[in-house]
Amino acid sequence: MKAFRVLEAGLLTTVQDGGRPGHRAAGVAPGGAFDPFALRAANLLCGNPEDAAALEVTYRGPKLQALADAVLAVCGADLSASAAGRLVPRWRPVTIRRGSVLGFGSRVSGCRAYLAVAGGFLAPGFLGSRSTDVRCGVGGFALAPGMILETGKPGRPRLADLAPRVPAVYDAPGDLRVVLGPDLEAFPAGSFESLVAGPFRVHSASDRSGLRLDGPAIPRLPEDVLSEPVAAGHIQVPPDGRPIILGPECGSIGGYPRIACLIAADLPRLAQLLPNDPVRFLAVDVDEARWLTAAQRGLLDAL
Amino acid sequence: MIEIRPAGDTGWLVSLGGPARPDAGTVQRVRRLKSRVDRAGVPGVIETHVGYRSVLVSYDPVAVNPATVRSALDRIAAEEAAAPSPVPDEAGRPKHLGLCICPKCAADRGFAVRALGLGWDEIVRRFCAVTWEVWVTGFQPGCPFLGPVPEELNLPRLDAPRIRVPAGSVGIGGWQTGIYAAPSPSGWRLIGRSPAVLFDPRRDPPNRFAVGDRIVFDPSADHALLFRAEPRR
Repeated sequence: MKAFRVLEAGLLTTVQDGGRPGHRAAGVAPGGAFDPFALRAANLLCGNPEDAAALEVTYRGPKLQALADAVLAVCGADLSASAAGRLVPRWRPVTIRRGSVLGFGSRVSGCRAYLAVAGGFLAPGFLGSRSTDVRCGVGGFALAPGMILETGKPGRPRLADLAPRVPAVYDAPGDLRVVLGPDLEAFPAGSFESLVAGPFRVHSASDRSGLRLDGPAIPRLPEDVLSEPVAAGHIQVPPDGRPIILGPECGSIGGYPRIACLIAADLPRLAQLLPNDPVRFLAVDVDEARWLTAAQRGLLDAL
Repeated sequence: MIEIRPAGDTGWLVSLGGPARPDAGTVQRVRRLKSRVDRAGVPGVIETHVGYRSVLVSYDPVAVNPATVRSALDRIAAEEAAAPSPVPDEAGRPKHLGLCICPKCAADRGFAVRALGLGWDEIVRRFCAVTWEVWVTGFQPGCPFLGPVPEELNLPRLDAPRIRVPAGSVGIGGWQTGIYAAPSPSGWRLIGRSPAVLFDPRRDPPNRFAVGDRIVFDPSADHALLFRAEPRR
């Protein structure tokens, strides 16, 4: 079904779903929504499977004209979504009428919003996923003016308002919880403590492959480097000592030692950081990390 | 010898350790360990992928307790140590890839000649005399990392990486060498460029090479001829 005409594309608006896990051995990143919590929430509110394809809206959003009545949900960053001149509340399903324009205004908080529509967006698949791999140019697509966006057969939306339940996920996006990394022998004693002491800020050269940080240089031993398997959340330290937190589109192997790993529950926070935002690291252990991840997923269990 | 370390709450890194120089034996053991983990079908495990000295076992921490995965990996590592899996059947004959060594494609030939103390023709001869084995794939989809780099061809990385090298670029960075499947930043010393298409999403599988495949380079300085043979770029 033809659902929207793209009037303006926004800064970087791409189709993203739950990603394509299982192909890292071939060098293909799982990719998918940078903020998987917001993606799941938006989909479930629209009555879609949780990993259906939605739009990942980055910082400056698109302008879309509805070609049919539709149920949609906006979750994640507050980018002042509005329809027919009225603000669209986040974290709950809303109806948009044929002919009205869904737009985004100034950014209030966060970096990435997820726009799901009942039925999910249709887009070219690659290895079982419609996600856009921006780096490799496979799967999905990035919006461009004039495009017609099509959707599948809608399910039944959930009449729920998640807003009261989600704040903890995004309260302090710069507070990132980490566990000790696997390559500690590549660092002198006290390096992990330097990481936790910080402070850091997000560098402008950051994208879906990873966030670079500005701040104190983390000391490193002058070891030769070999490429080892990496994944989103791994925190690498290149020779200049400025940490890089890998994102969902990172390469499958990397040659810099890892001082720490972000916990899965804080990937949504990472997705919401903008250049120059402050970042500090808080140490947790694997058991606590797992508990936090399970608790976060539990927030959506009732849907 | 085998160490299992947490990589966040979604992965265990099974590491063989050892020297920072990749060698065929370690790469082979990593590969056997990966296939043993894959065959075991540990519940909750999403995927496994390898580097030169380690296997990353990724799992869903909500579907499975990390400690349960850890115990399974301890058992698999112990089994592998006690009775190593048979070496997988080697791939068939090596595949031949063209390698353009014109001055533009081999941007670091001058540096290589000075750093190695060998003539350019001799460097090319030695590089192309090696039957390379794909030791690792990844970084970008389709990139084969090859070994072993002969002692006399070890070239140090650039101090500051190039912003962008073209797809097909062949470089040496320390003990690592390989082919870029797509344009990329690179800190490697470029000694040539291959017209081979390494990743094609319309193909199944999309990657031309898998770990264990073998490659021989056929050098030529006739850029126009080489890049006409496989007309993609």
